[in-house]
Amino acid sequence: MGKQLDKMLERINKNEVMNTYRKHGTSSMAYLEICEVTKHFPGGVVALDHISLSVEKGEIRAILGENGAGKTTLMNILYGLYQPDKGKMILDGKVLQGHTPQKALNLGIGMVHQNFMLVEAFTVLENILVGLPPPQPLLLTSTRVEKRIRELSRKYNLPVDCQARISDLSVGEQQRVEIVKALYRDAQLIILDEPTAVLTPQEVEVLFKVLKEMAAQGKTILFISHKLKEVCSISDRITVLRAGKVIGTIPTSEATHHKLADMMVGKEVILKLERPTCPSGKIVLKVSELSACKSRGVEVLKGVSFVVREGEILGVAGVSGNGQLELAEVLTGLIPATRGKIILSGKDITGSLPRGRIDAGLAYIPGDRLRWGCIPDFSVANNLVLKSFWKDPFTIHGLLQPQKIVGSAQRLIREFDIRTPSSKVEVKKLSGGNIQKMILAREMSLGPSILLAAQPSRGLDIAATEYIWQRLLQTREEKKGVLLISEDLEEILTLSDRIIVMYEGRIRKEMPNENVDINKLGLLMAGAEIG
Amino acid sequence: MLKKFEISFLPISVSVEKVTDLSPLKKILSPLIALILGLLIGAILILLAGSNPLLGYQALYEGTFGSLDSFTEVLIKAIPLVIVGMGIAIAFQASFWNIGGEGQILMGAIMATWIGTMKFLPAPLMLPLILLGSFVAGCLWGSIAGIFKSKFGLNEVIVTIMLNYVAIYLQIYMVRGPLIDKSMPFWPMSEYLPSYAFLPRLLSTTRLHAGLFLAIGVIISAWIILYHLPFGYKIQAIGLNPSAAQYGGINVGWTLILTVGLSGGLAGLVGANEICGVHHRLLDNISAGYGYTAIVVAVLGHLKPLGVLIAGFFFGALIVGADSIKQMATTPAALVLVFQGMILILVLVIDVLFHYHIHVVRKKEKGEST
Amino acid sequence: MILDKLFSAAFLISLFSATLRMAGPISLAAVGEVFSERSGVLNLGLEGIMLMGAFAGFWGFFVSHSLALGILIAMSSGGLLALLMAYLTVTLNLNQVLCGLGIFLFGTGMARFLDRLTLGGSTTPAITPTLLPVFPLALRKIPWVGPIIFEQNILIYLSWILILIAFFVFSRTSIGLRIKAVGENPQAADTIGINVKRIRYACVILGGMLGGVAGMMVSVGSLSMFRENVTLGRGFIAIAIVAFGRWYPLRTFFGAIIFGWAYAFQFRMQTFNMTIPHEFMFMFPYIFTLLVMVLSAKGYIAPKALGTNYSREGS
Repeated sequence: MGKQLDKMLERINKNEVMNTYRKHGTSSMAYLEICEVTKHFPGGVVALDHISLSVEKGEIRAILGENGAGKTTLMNILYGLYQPDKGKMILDGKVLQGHTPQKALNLGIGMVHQNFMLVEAFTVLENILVGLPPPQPLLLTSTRVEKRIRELSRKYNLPVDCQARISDLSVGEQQRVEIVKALYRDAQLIILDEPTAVLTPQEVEVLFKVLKEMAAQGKTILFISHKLKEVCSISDRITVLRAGKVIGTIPTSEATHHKLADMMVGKEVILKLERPTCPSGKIVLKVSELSACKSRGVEVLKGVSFVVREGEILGVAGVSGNGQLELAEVLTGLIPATRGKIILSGKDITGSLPRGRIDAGLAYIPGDRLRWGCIPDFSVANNLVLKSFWKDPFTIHGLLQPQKIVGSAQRLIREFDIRTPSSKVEVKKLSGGNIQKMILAREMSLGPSILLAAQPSRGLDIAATEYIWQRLLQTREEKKGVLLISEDLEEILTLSDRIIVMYEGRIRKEMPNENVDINKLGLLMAGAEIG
Repeated sequence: MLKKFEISFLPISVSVEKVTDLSPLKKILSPLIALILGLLIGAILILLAGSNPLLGYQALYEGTFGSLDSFTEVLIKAIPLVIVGMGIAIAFQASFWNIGGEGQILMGAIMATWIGTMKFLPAPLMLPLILLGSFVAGCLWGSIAGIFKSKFGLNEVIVTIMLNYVAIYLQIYMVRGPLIDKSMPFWPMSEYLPSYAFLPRLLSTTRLHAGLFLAIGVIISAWIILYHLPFGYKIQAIGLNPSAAQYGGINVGWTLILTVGLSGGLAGLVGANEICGVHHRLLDNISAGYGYTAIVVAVLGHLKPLGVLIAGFFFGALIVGADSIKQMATTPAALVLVFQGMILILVLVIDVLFHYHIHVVRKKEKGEST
Repeated sequence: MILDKLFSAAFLISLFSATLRMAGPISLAAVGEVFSERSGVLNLGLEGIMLMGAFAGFWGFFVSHSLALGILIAMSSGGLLALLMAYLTVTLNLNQVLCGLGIFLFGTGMARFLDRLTLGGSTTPAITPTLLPVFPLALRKIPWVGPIIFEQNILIYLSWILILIAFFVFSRTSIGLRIKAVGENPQAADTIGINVKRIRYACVILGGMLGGVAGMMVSVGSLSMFRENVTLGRGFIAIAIVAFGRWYPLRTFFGAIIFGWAYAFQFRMQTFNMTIPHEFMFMFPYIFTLLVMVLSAKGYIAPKALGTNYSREGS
């Protein structure tokens, strides 16, 4: 399963002709020095604990760590968005004092964030214009800027259309704009935060080529990731972060997956779950010709049809922005279907309100858990009854029964291993993993017949991810249907029995999860036509 | 987040830390401190107005608590503030900014007068009908804004304020037209209501009327609704996270409209309260800015029933007391208006400031890292 | 007979002239609010700011007999109130709606308070001189265009110039682009080095200054006196018009003109029509606003970050 991915990434490694052209720093002092950087957050959380590391010029350094290890926090400090409580940073001999993004940009630090920092209503050109270094001319003059954008675009093989509106671009295209933005400001140190999360395997290959070209031109690259394989294929050296501390820095040539996993998590854990064979039963969810429109009337879901059976996990693979979100929204009743049918356990729920679908047996773990999945200001107990508070036993004769609510909450907290001081604590205080467990607990407590899970392990550390994956497999064993929507190929390949690939609102192909050709999968996700 | 300030000539360093939780003590203290600060700033205003603030506040105190008469006057002013304030607090909990208190009160008052002057209605039915009618009038008036927000996404602040103006002009028209007292055609006021439409007087020597029970009833009902009924759960849910609430199965649109209807209805009741309990006829300016003052009352009371009760009482005291500050070169009404705005801002500011803990520490010796 | 009068040149000229005059304060206040809202801050205190400006400008002019000084004072009072609003929302990150209401109540109260304090004592009501026409008689005598366009007072012309500048800023300048970026995605703007706080402060204060002058246009420009609540909700109507104009200065100006027409029309209809009581005529502008809001509700594309505060996490 992962072998195909490995082979492809090895190929990238071996194509390292560029390697020979890479310059090494001539001075003894490193290009970037980070010394004893420490950062606390309110509530006593220690995000970074005396971090020290140094990076050479022209190096591609990977910062590896699981979600929550502190990688993004460190980069945000480097970029000037956060201020460290202790410690200092030295770039090219200059100490970074009173650091702001403005100063970072002037010093040649560019960052491509995980969530793109682009104004969606603007065009590509406007996004770059608005970030021009001061002093800015009074009037907007675009011809010179456009010319330079085209030059950079050609030089680094990053095709961008200056007049395109960001909201019309694909995720991969948006990322290119972000990189061009950084290059336009003459960034010498480029930070990329989890850049491959949103790309198809082929796009990852292309990105890596671009990064190597940039390094060959003398730029220093910091590559943040939690993915072992990619990190091994792109970097010169790997620094591993765990719980806010630097565990160590090793040259990539000496790194093995086991060693890295050990450093990342502290124990020999590679996420390898056994998926026992499970006979699938009758059809629990049948979707035919389902279509839906986005707010502007543009059709984003175009006649999708599939089934999910009891005891099976159907994985929906695809790069974000190809209709997966709308699929989830139509299934849960948040947006209306313009065409097609949804039949759940034999019942037509196409026109039902959300509550009707919940009653029919549909459970949903949303991708954006804080926005759609819970009420962060409510207590854990109140959140757990979000879908059942008006029913027996939580409401009797029209009156809420607080003790029953708390009692049930305590039970679920135990059963689902939700780490919280009490059921009365506000959900916003819990960690991402525990919030996800809480949402899962709530959904399962309703005894659904199908569970719809979107990006279930996004942002979670390995332990929480493992737990969620186990639970999803368990749900499958309990003879329920699971519809898994995920951009994380590893997640799809680990859990699914069958896979469908979505591209531009349609299903490209359906296949069983056996000996899946990653290459082919990647091509399908990017929209290529395959027989 | 810890921010450290060092003052070079003092042997201390101050560090400010942001805290995420507020202790219950702080929650009670913040409105109190806002009030005190407000009074201090108010003193400056009184000074500007040419009066002596100390005398002024003394007069305020005496004007409020000095006699049974003045105390009951405070209650009379507090009753509408508490009822409308609670209505507004409920709407605010659903994140619906109901600024239409004035208009909803007026619609209730108009309805109350209209029903009250219907000669053919039997006496025992009159008061209950008036209360019901004014509630419905305010409810419908508020629901307009609720529907506009729910169906069209319109900004409820603007809508409710526009409706306020419409209601004001409607009231002006009514009291000079259909509802006018024909025996006194040059005064803009309605006929006197029959005595069986009055809210009965509680203490014969004062003006205190049964509206007091109405107010207490509203507070208790609000407490039950918000914390013991599923409806209350829905109100808070849509106020805190409408997306999750909707996906969780709550019908956000309907809940919003019902909540706003309830809010408007309570304001409508105040219309009846003023007509049947205080003035016994419809006059200009019968809402007396209660709709706006009640917003401050609601925020000061942290949107909770008990808080609104106490805050309503304080503001009632303020309004009555302002009248007794003598020899000011400005009207008491203007002073109260300024005070209202100030208090609203102060409450918000102090709530935020309380999130910061200040530690003052003896300075460390030189050479030690920050 | 009535229709004759309605379409007579005299009536129409007077109507259109009044349209521009009534549209003036609303358009200026609305364009100021466009700045504020484009940067992401909804300033509901505009009504209080306008009222304060109406008083301050009036008082300044009345006391010093200098229109320029009056304008300066009106601008400063509006700017100060807006500064407070900016401090509360941008620095302290308080709820924009509640702060705006606080400023509204405070500003309204202050205007009334100061009015009574400074001018209330005298027995004769304070009146400022009617503003003299700006353009020469020759221009003003041109049929139709003369009375409608060239007979307005200087404040109206000032507002037109300011609105044109606003249009220019948003469509052609880099600062306009940055303001828009802040209102659409403050986090992105922050990361590319734009000082979000500074831009928001500047826009809110500018909105307040324009709002103050707009208030003055009502008291000094139209009425030559100051009365309690002289602005009568125009601040809120201006906010509705900003949305109607989709946050573009010129479209907003157009919306204000439609509004001005509604006011002017309603006024004139009162003399014509004896059957509809004039209170209902007075209601017209507000009902009109509601109608406009409902009709223009579809296709609402507000600046994405409007109404939400921004603060750098963990800074």
